[in-house]
Amino acid sequence: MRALTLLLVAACGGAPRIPSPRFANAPPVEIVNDRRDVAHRPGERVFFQDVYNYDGLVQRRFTRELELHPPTRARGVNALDEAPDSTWFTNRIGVRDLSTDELARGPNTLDSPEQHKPWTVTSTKTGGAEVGFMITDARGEKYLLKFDTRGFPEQETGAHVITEKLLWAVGYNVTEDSVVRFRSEDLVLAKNAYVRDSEVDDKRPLTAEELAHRLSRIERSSDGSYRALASRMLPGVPLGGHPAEGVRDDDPNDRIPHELRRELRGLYTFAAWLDHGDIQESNFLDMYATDPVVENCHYVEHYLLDFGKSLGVFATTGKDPRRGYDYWFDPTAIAGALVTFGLVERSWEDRHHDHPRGVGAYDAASFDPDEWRPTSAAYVPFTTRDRYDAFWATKILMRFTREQLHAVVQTAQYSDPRATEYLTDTLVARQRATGAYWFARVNPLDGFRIEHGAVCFDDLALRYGFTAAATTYAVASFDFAGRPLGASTAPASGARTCTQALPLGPGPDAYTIVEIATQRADYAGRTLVHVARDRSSGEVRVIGIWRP
Amino acid sequence: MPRVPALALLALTCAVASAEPAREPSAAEFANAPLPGQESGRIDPVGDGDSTAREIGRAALLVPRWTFELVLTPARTGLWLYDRYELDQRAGDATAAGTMRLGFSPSLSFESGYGITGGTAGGRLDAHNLFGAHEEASLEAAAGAGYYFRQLYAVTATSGHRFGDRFTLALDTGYEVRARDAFYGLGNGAGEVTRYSQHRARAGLTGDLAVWSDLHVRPSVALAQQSFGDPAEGASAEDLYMPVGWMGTQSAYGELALRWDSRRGGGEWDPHWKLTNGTLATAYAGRYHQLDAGGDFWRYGLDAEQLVRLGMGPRVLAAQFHGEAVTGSTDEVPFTELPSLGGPLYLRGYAPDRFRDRVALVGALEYRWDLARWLGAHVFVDAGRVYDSLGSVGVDHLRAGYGGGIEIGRATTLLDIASSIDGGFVVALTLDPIHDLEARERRR
Repeated sequence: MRALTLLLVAACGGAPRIPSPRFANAPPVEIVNDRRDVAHRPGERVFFQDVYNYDGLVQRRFTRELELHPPTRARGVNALDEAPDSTWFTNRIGVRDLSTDELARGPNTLDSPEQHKPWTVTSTKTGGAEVGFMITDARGEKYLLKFDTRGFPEQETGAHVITEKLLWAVGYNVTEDSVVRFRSEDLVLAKNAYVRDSEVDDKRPLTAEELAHRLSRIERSSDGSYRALASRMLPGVPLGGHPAEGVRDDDPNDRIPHELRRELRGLYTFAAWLDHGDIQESNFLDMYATDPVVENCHYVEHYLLDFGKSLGVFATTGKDPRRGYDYWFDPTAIAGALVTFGLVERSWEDRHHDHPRGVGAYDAASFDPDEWRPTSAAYVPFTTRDRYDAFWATKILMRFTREQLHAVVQTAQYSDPRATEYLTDTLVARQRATGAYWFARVNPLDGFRIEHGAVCFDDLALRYGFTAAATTYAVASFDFAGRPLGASTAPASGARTCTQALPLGPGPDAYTIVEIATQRADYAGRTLVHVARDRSSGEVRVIGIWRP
Repeated sequence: MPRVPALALLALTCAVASAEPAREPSAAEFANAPLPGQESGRIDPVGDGDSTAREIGRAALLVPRWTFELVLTPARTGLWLYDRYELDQRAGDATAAGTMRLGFSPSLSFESGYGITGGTAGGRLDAHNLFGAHEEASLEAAAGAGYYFRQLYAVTATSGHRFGDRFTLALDTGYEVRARDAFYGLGNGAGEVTRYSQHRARAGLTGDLAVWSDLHVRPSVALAQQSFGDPAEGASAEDLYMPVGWMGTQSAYGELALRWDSRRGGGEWDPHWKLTNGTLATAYAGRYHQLDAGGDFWRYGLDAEQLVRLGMGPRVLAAQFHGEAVTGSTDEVPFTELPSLGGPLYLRGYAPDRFRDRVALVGALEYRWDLARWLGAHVFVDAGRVYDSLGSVGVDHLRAGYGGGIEIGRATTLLDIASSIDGGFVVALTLDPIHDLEARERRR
């Protein structure tokens, strides 16, 4: 009935209901070429923490408001509203099969350095207050050793490898890291080993006494071993993180402003799921890399770094339950607490961290997928994001099965098996909270295919069990110009439904726009599916999607 | 959808060197793919969502935006310099042992109200772990510009663990010039204000011996010299009143204090520097000896604070009491040594040292709550008055101040806005938290 009404309105010259996007009669783009040779190495971006936060919280935040930017949908997406493969992102889970073994291995291409001792300590870690060492294993591979904050055993190392592997499986570029154990006798001091805690410090020799002193500052197991995270050095020349806004001017492949990039805006949803709040420029890294196949071809690859504060660890190690709920400087939260004299309970007040050993303050009870906050508001892509970015990300994160998540969590090697079970349960709970939220805010239809002349699609809300309401789909077809071609209704037949055979538009391309409006008690929304005939094969195919 | 075949068109200078399969994506696979920005498949014009109204608004806001950026440029440049040259790091590791740390803290204070408006700015250079036993020393200088010229210079040092874990010694020396302090007369009445200038030099030594649990014995001695004069402008103080000590004093002071301080951070989520539970009680008695003229007298008093943690945040209720008395008469005790109320420490809502007499009693009730991890707020009610003797202590004619403020970070920087039942309005930015005993001792 609704479809008929829509058809009548359109036929009687009502307001145009078919918005403007029209797509080329071509397969959607799955990869983009941002690997063209960059002959001149881009300059290194030096990260100034205070300036970055000041800009993000005060100056740039305010001036950006005065620039009156309109809400803009993400760029860098193909006709199916997906992010193609690039130096930023590689579609993995759901696009191809990932075995649990591959998920557990994640980005690692080499064996763990734990199998290749002794390790030669070449220097201390530069920057940051935490203890860390640069080592070279018996194979000659270089790693950075990082440790858990004292008093919080297994938390940072565990959270890091879990989040790193999940973000890799999603599609982001990350470092190759492993949880390792070693004894002090596994370390060999290089002859020219040095200490340099800060960039402004002069190098001084790293002595055995200094090494022992630094080891005494980190957690040690009862068997005398140390637990650490071994992070393999990335190939190429580090260029610093990417700017939160605009492009890297000296990289000709960087053509889409970062605040408009789908992968970066959608990262919010993954970060919320994983409570990865340590989002700032210094935790991204661009590498000027050499192509693995094409000689003398160099380009910039974009990585995510440092996930040790995710999964609630930022809250525990910082003793700050607001992490993930408020920005560090959150005018809204501050004003709210001020005017209410702190008498109104805030969502983070129920937060607990009496979890098994190794687990941070990570829970699902008070998790809100749209209200989660990173520590700083300075990362612009998180402030320009919209529900379509979240929908894109949610589709991906919902592809993880419980077994896959369990396999990834196991790689954290928690000493208490309850930690593995708890984190798996909580990842699943937050995953489902994310799906339930975003699939109720964008018409949750996906996986469009033409089968036997009909459009078939998945209703993700039904597929993942977020609703059991009776569902029908009002289907209306239009030609390229938006003139109606026909209408019908289709009741949901499980998670995957097919419409009746489509009336196609005129012309050799048979360009047709199919509006599918989902109707159920708790939701109404529509998606426009653009189809056309492949001139070479004669088959009708989906060439684009638009979600109003 | 099938992938675009590799090796079709190689972009720019990239040339295929090997057909070996690589796990990592290669430029060869991407060579004939669209460039970034060409992937949408859209054939209709893709607008940026802008509108004429936005463009007009943007043009109208251009000047305010530039002005805003211009005004904030110094602040941003300062931060850039701080980060670029890692100024906080450069001061470190100054000794051969590599254990001493130097730090610099800017300071700022501001007071407004009752005709007293002034600000000082300066800085403090701190040395931590001076000789390897957590000794600390600081050098402080501050000055206020303009009409209310004020200067402060101070050198302090503490022994850390040099004498063991149970005993510390603190040295505090300072010289201060205050150009326009106010004297309101004696008693609880609304006296007429008299302005005067003051030069004050002081050296004090305080010991702290932990005798049992949270009980400490704190002996202290101090030498002080004060001289007074007319203010740079305004009516002469001599025309209005000639208090004891007007010509200046030289004094020695010795005090013994017993201090019980069980205040602690209470909740598992509370910042470690936040005191949320426990009791502070300090009883002290000291002998004031005038080195030049006049008689000696005793000073004694009691400071108390009880903290009750009400909930997460943390939210804390604080009940405070301060009482102080001197044994000498007002003819014997220099007016600056009389117990006083008013200012950021005792009886907020009134100007500093608004009330002076031989006895001062004040109680306060304060509710503190969190606004952020590093930011707290509080509201308070203070009530008290001065008396001419202990025999006249009562609740008649109490003065009461009320207000609120915010507290920034662990440095306990307070911004208070307060008023009183007598009217008026005081804004005070101070680094002296209420019931900081060291602050009280430095006043002697």
